[in-house]
Amino acid sequence: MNKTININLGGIFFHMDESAFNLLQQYLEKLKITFYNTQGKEEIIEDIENRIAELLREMKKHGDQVIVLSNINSVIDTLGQPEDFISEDDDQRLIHPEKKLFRNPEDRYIGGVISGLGSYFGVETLRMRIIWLILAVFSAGAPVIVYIIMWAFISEAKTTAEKLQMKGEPVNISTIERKIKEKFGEVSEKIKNTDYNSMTNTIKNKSKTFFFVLINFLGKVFKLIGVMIGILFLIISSVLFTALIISIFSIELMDFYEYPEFFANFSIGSDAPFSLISFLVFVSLLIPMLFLFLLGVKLLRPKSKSISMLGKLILLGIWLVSIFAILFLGFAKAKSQLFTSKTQLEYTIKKYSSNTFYLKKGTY
Amino acid sequence: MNIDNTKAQMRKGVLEFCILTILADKDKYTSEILSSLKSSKMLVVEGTVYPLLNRLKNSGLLDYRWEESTSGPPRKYYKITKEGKLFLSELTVTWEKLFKAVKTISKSKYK
Repeated sequence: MNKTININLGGIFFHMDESAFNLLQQYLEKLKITFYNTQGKEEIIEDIENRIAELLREMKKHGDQVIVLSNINSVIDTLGQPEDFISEDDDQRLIHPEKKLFRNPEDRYIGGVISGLGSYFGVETLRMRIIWLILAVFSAGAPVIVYIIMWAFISEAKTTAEKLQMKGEPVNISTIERKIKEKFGEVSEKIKNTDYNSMTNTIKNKSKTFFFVLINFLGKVFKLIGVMIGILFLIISSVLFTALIISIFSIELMDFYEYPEFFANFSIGSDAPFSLISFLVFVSLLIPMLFLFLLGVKLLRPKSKSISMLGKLILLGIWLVSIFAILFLGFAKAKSQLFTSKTQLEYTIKKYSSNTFYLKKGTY
Repeated sequence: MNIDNTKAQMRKGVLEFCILTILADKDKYTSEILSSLKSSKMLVVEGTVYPLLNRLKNSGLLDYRWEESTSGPPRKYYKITKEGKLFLSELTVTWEKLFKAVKTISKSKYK
């Protein structure tokens, strides 16, 4: 049993066995390399693809028949290996050692920009990544923008030829063949492995470790900051709470108060009973403290249950009421203390001999 | 010296001449060109022809057009140009001279 792949070759639709597909792809890749520097390579490849389609169509009499490996093999026999197309002197021009900058799709966390740059400059990818990260941290993130721009403008190394160029290896049939064999060896090894899925998973995990370590690290840092803030909130709220309790008791029970003058004026001069005012002040300070405390608890234990939404709303309502009551009483007091004043100064001006008066600015 | 390589080189040189000759009287599509080359044992692998046809076309000796076919995708029909005809007549002369020369040499050798 084999998986089949649907392909479009030269405008004709084919069902193809997976192994047949791989072989055909490998063959076409090799052709692309062979004609890499030839003028009109696209046209040549297209013509050959059309011919392959024609040959396959002749082989396949029934519409539903699947193309198998032997079909592709006989097509390749008819067309010949790319090495046979080109004579030795032609082969010379295939050597193309010039390095080019590509994004590397085989070794990447985000876009493969860094590993592409690494290949270009001959720096180990891991080192390149660390350099980039340090730059990003110490220059307030400018490399992130540079990265995105490079991601957009540098093309990905898609074909084997481009991958070789990325590494500065000469592009010719032998290097291509080596590269393709490497790739196929890798693939067949993977397939051979019985625990195929877990194998690929570990490979994926391995390749992503660096990124996840970073995310993990940042996550831990943020968590730590959260815990510290939470502890701070708890300390502040409990200290304030204690202070408040002590003050309310000392005021209410022991009549011991030595508060600022404005508070004294406010409470003493007001019509409202003193206990009401101290109660309102107590409530208006207690509720924010309670919220601060709850927030601290939430930061320390994100999953802990807080009071319900309704409870919060009721507390908020009580708080607003007490604030407004204090404001109302304050305004009432201010109104009662309101008075108008007028200052009148009278001077008699003596008669002078001259006709002109000079007024001099002075202080009273 | 690799014998296969020498053979391929020899064949390749003559191949352009053969393609032009095949197209001299009649326009043909790629597969037809291939089958006439193959039936005369001129061609071992088909792949060789494609870069050649492309080169001949790019240098203006051949031209092509697409033609619908009743049995399959459209076909690429090649046609020899005026320039191609001139080129061919010159090649024909050269080939005949070469052929005679080789024959003369081998005859004198085996006498």
